[in-house]
Amino acid sequence: MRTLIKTFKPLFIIRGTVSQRWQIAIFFLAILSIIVGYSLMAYAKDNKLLPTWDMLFVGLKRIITDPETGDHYLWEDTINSFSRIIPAVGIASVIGIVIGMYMGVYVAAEAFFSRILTFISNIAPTAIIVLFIVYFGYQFKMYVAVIVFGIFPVIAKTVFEAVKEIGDEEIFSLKSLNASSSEIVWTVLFPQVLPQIISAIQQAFAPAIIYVISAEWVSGSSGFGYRLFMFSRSSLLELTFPYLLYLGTVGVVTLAVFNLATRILCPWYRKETK
Amino acid sequence: MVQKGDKVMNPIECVDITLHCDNVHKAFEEQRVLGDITLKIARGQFVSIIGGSGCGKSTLLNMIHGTFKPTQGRILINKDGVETEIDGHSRERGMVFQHYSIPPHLTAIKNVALGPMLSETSIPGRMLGRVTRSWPRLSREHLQKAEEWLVRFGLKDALHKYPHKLSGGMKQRVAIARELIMEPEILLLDEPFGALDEEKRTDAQEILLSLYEENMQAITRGEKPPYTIIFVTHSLQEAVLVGDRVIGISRNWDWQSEGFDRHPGASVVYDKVAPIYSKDTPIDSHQIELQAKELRGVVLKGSNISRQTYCTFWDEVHNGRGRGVMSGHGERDE
Repeated sequence: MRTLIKTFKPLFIIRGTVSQRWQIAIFFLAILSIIVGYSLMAYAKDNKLLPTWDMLFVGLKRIITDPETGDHYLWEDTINSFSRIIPAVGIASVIGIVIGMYMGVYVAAEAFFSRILTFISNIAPTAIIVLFIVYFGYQFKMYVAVIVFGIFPVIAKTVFEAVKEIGDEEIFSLKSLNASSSEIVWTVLFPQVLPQIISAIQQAFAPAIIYVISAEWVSGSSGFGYRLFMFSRSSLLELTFPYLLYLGTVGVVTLAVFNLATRILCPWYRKETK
Repeated sequence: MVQKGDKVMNPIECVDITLHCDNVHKAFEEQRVLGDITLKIARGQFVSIIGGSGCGKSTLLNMIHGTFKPTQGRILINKDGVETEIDGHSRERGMVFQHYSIPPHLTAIKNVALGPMLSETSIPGRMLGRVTRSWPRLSREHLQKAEEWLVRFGLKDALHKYPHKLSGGMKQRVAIARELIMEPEILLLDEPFGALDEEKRTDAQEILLSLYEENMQAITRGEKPPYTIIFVTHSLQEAVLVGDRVIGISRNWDWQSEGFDRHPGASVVYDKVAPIYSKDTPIDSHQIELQAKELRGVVLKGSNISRQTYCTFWDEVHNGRGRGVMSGHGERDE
């Protein structure tokens, strides 16, 4: 008993150190508890809704290649949805970065945008998709507009806060090195806040997926949203769940990609931890 | 020595003055911070500024840097014999701060080369220069110059390190190199070593002393001394050790008897010659202590100080007691 307490005690110390091996073990414990929890629910006597593991496995195979029609749902939807998300995130990043950078250095720009951005970021674009459809039709443009509208305020605010953190001293000393305003903003400050910018774009990915799914749900004939809508209309949870598993995994992978990008593009960057 | 007939001219009239604060007042809204400051600083001088916390010494430095404008009076800078009033920031005046030194995303050498890059080229110029291959060549020159500065400051091993790998003292040395590569008319240091421990502090002080030696060598060769420095510190000993002149700023001066009806703010109450040390001359700590004690009494503890009593710098120079770059301007100098 005493040795047992001794083994587990470090896990319950606030800010204590936990070895890498323990951390991995705990991660697997989390996965295991999800699996066990789900199994308990799926195999319960009165369950009529949740698909069992073998149903899910069949479903997974079907969304990869449908045995009846020969369609590759997952692959097609990935192509369709990401061809909307990626350009949209790109456009929103450019808008957000430009607004955020200038807000961080010009008080006038801050006064102009600050409250308006907060206002816009609290409007759910999903609530006004009809408006976007009226203006942009059912085309590519509409999906992009919904996503851009939804995520650019958040990117702008994050960039703004990162630039605002930089002290006056640095700006003044750059001015006394005869730097022009654009040089201060783009040659020095931009690379300096690049890690925060990358992180802001990464964090915008999850809402971007939500918005594209909503827009496709309402109007689409292709993409994740459309597919999930079709599945949910006929209560095909054994097809829906593998999709969600896939989307979650995509999120984890994008995070890893963005972290790698930070490490390559900003080798000087260290998160402020001891 | 400049002579006019048989009489030695007042040094203040014949010395090459780099910085001239003419009757400067500074108030932030209703709060009067600095009042009636008149200062002339000669080329090649290392001037220490001492004052109690919050007395406005940083404000004075920021005004000279160009961040604030004086509410009254003028600050003039002399470049190649032409006196111009300070208007905003400019490469003629560099500044190193206590809590901020260099951007974190550039290596030491690139940080130092940043100044020449920003001041000699522009964004479109560099884009075009990449095509015509002229920018990479110029950039190499900048980096080479930067390397020379860093090597001089003992940072040979740190050239390509990012700031997070450098100690506080090293970062401040990079920051000083970054300003000096611009060849400013005057370098402003705002408690640059305030956050360093004793040992690092001594290293950093030695760098300043070696710069002063270069000034002396330039004068021996008949050239202009290249470095003029104003140095704010809260350590009295450091002020006396590093500077060839110590200036004290305090609010406790007898402004009523000078005819002001309201407190105009802190002013210069102490302005004297300080001893000079180089690597070869041993440091006379007794002498330093003596002056530090006087400074403490007048600047930090004194009250109702008459501005004439302790502001004797130019008289001392006139009487041949000027030292370092200021020697050779008085009557009894040989």
